[in-house]
Amino acid sequence: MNNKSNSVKNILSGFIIIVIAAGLTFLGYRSLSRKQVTESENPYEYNIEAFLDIPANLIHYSEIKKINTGLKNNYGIAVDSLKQLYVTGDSSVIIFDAEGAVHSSFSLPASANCIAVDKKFTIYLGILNHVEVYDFTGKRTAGWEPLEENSYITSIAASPENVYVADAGKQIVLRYDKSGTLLNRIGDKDEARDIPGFIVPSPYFDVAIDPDGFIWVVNPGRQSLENYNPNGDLRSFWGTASMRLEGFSGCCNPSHIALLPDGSFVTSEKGLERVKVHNRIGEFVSVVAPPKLFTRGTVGLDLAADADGLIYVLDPKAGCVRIFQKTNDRQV
Amino acid sequence: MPEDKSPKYHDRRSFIKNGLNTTAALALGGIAGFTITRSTKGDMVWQIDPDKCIQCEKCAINCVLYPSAVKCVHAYAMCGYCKLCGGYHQPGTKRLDTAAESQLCPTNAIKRTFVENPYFEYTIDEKLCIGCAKCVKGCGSFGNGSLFLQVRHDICVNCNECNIALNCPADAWVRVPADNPYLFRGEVRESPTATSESGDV
Repeated sequence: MNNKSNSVKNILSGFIIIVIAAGLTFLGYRSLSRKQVTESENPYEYNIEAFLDIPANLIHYSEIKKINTGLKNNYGIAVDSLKQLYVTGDSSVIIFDAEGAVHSSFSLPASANCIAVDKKFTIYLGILNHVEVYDFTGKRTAGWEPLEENSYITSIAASPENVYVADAGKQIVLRYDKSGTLLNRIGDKDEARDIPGFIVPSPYFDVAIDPDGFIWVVNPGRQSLENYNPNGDLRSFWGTASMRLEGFSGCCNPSHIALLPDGSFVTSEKGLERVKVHNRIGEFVSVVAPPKLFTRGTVGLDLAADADGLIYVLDPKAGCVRIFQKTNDRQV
Repeated sequence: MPEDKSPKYHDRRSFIKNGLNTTAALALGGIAGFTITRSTKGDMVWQIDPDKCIQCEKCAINCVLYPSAVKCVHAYAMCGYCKLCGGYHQPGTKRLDTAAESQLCPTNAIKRTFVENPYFEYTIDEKLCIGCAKCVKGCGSFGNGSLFLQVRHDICVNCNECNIALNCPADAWVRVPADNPYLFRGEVRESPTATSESGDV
């Protein structure tokens, strides 16, 4: 009886010792692996990795050309009806022909933040708080009266009859005739006219003209685009605040827009550097350039589009203009 | 352009903004005064250069104090008062509200208050702030960079060899005069007193 009892005790003792040893081994392994994680990872990392990877089936454009501007600081681009590319930066303007070769260049009295070209090849430049006008040969033809104190011009759009100037400092768009006479203001907050007013937290405030001649203005603080008549009546708007592809990220995006010939929108963002296309009613269609194409922290991805639907993206950190062509018609 | 002759007025937002700026200035001024009484002229103390800071979290885990003497500071004049705040909201949040899952701050140290549509004000609860810089990175990435880290000298024990400075990978810890110990975002500081020496206090 005693022998049997002793053998049961021995088995129990052995079992308990094995369980304790296994437990200690497990705890030791766990603490070691935890230490490795702590040393290699930042527990407070601001992580947006999930938004940097774009599935390949959502990218319907491919980069077909890269034009190095040769400028240290690149601020704005425009494309004319002959597919000539205008780049401004470093107190100068460089004109590239449709093949990407330098056609000509000229100097400016100061750096221009933005540039627009109309169908007569007249060049409009936003320099701090006023507009300067040049012809195609680089001859200065006019300098418009400076805007108010604290004004800061971030975008210009030129139609056959009008020039629209986006003033980020005063959060307003100004409509001029071609001689520089101010015609009216667009976007002043007016509840009676259902105009919400522009919110521009940072100096990115873009305007563009659609194929029907109406003006589209980014309301970056509302992550939306608003459509106005030339007289300033609000026609429509669209936009969603979201880091997902259907929306615009951060406090103030999109930073730049352009219109495609079919009325679709090309948008670029800062913070989460990406270029996308939305259709005429604002639905996400495609990614043009994914975030991983750009150096993190790139801002000022100015956009232009030509009559063939090619999309031009200014990449200031890389010092180049990237040209994208549609390659895939798959819809999301 | 015709001259605007309409009388100047202060809207609600600018009134609140000015009030907050004044409050922040008075608070920091008081702390600076407190610091001055603890130091003599010519003393140098540690501070973080906001333009060099890379938001690596070392300030949260290397300070000899817990929570760290490094706190997030808000430059209200630079803030956009945005509804969607990169420094407050979790990336990809589905709702722009104050729910825990929508917030970026791991310690709930940022308070979000409605001002007027669509503006929101963000204030730092320093008792809860651990100086992890998660909000600083979010604000800098998507916003105006109005959030930044500073060593609060009413909390800092002025170690002779600051443990965070020794571990800072960005060389962002600099020596500044004890009677002017803060480096604000957007501030033009006249003399380059900030140096990256690791000298004595």
